[in-house]
Amino acid sequence: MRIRTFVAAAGLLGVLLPALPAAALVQFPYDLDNMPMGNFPGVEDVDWNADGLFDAPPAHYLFRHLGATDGYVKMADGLDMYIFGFLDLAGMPNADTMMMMNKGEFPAPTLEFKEGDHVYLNLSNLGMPVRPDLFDAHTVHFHGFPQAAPVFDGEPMASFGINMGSDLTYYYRIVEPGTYMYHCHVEATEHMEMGMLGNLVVRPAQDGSAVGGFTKFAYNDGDGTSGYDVEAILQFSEFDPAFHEADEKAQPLRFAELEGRYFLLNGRGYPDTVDAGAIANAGGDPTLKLHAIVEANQGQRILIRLSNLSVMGYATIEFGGLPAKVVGKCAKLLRGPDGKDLTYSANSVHIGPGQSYDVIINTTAVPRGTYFLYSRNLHHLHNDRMDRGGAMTEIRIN
Amino acid sequence: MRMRRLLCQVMIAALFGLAASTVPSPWMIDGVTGSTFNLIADSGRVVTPDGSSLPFWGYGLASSGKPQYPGPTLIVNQGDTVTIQLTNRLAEEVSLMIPGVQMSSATAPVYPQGSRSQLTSLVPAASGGGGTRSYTFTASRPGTFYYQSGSNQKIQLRMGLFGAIVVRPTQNSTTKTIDIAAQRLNDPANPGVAAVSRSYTRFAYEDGDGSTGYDREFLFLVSEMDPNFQHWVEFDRPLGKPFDFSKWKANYWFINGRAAPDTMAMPNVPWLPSQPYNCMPLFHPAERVLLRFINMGQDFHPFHTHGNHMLAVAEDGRLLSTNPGAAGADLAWEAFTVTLAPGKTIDALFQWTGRGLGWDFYDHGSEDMPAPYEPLDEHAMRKAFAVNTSPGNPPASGQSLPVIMPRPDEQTLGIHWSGSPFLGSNAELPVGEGGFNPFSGYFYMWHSHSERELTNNNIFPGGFLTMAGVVPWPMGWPNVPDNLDESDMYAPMAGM
Repeated sequence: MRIRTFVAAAGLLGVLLPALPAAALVQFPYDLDNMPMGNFPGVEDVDWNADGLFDAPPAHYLFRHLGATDGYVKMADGLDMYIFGFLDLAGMPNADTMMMMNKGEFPAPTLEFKEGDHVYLNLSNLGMPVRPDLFDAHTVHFHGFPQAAPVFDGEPMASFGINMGSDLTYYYRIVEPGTYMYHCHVEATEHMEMGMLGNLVVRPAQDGSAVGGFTKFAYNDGDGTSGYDVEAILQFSEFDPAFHEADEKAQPLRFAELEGRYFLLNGRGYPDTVDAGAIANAGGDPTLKLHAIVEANQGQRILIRLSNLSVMGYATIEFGGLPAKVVGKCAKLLRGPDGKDLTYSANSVHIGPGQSYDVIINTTAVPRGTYFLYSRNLHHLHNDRMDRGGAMTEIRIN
Repeated sequence: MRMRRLLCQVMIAALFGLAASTVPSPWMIDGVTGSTFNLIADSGRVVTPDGSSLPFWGYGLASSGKPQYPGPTLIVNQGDTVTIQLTNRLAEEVSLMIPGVQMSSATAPVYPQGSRSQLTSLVPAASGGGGTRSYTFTASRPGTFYYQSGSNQKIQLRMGLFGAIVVRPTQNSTTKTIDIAAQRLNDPANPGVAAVSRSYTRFAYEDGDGSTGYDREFLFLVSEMDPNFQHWVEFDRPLGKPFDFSKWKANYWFINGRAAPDTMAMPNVPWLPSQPYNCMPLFHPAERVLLRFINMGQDFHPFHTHGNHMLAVAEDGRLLSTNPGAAGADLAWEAFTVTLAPGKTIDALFQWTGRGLGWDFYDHGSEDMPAPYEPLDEHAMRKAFAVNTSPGNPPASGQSLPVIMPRPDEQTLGIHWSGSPFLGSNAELPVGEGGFNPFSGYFYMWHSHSERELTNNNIFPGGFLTMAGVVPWPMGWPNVPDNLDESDMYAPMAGM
């Protein structure tokens, strides 16, 4: 079928006109000069308050800049694993971003927004220097974003990916709190297995007000059901070293033989999960920036924001036998259509790829000490050939 | 861009509205209706998009004389006495059972050698080589069910002896009016979701309050195959060679018997003679879409809908309700990824309105009429983006899209991309790009989030995915000819 052209004046081409209207229209960081009324539009080249003058963006307008490239991360058994990854380019002059090639991180930088925010998320495709034969596009898929439009959904069959050396800005108006995740959706099986995965959290408008004895919440619950004192954002994933090696060495990709051998929380296998610092790869780049330690004082309530972005399968994550209550699932408070309380107490959650759970641990009656949060799938408890590892971390009650 | 064409759309809507009674309803899933079904069980071959074909065993309609994968979808009415007459053309015993449904006659397992270690069937079976058996039950409960062989299931269910059963509720003869706004987002710029009343005559369940009413329904019967196993059944099993079941590993995944991209082909295409059913959900903005999930495989599958959450209203053919028949689906839960467990069925409602996006995805002009299917309250809200220049409403003031798009040469374009970020609009694409979005709709990948399952035996993409489409225009599908030309589809607009 051929493309119909009867609405050729449609918006896509229209906004490419060089004369930009004096209204909010932002591409970030196309702002090469950082000058009000300069030659390149940036956030300061916008009449945000419609007073006829350019001015600074209002509060709750967030500007984030991610790069997409390849890189290496050091696994718990010492293997330097080739990955595709995102990294944070915020504040970096545009001309310098290409220096960040091959410095992709795993997991991707955590994105944290609040209900009511207007988010401009720019993605720069820096290319993958270890695979110069690849000219893959990349995207950001805000997984679970409600009422999404394809243009900002990052699913490349229904929209498009951004080519190497180019930038694409996503716009999200944040209206629904919850635990989400994000990942590249281009050639999803490959790019996700290769590590283009990250945590994404949307905080509720209720945050900051006192409800039910708390000031921080997972959701706008009205009664403190999802209130917490400390929070841990944890993402389960798996790596197959043979697949990564094939990608690194430009060999055919064996999707049929894909098998996880590293089972990770926030990109690390135990005991690296409880190393509070960044872990550098063999080249000295600190590409494993997130730890997975859960820590609280006795009596505090802990919110575990758990997601799974394995490309292979489910995990049953146990919470160390601590009193745990599941209050949210897939970025929704567990409440029926008429408001019925659907929260439940549990020792574990069975979490599938692309799902998230919000679990509150009440430490009031919990003796001080160290407890373990881990995958009860026994084959998840190793780092390839290294025993006593895998998807496991510590819950420390002080 | 000022969308004068929206006016035209309204007129098209009116035209189609008048003609609606002559257009076959595309709202329901493919299947056979009635209360007496003559089925066969036989072997055939499924075709996979990587160019392979695999042997399968399946049920089929006796009238067609051939098996299909999956078996025919049987659509019956609540209260019907249903009889399924099975003629078994396979060499070994085959039977039929429906989890959650009591057969009318007493049942007994089959031990042909008189020993429990020789159990060949959990239920009475039709013997191999032409044997027959009749199964009768009363469809007392509405919902989504499946039938499957109760014989030698380790092999026969992996080979494909299963199919869907839909039991339509008695309530379908009534009209119930409900507020469907609950599934919409609470838009902070327009707080308080106004009630949106809509009347339904089609329901998933006997809910009592209309809470399972829907505009369209789609079936997602999912299954998987290990090609090594299928070939063992064909070549090695007849020779008495064993199969190491611990090595079974799926490498093909199917929705309604097809692996992507065949999921998106039309039903009954000639190149898929054993796989008549497709799975390509197309619906209008704000419509309530019922998804009937059945997992006939052995693996857990996390099913993710791009575009919005689903509202699960039933599991295992049971309304999620504290008081079925009166309280409605008051225990329904929402998810952006639902777990399809082996042998489980889930009914979920999906609705897309685009509410709360913060920009006008219709790109309305201030003088524009609502687009077809656009809820009036949301039209007023979105149109405000075009005319409201107050400080409270940046960045959309005066702009429909709050960002600058990359140049076309900076994009790698998807085949379902219309070229425009706006619903109902398109833009010229480079030669050879796009082409699978004739109505300038919004497409969403609906897929297994175990992303390894998006392959056909090593080939990406494929497997367990389909593209769902929000169609902004009146829908002729599935009767839209696939050589459609602009002058066909948009003929009413030609002079405007």
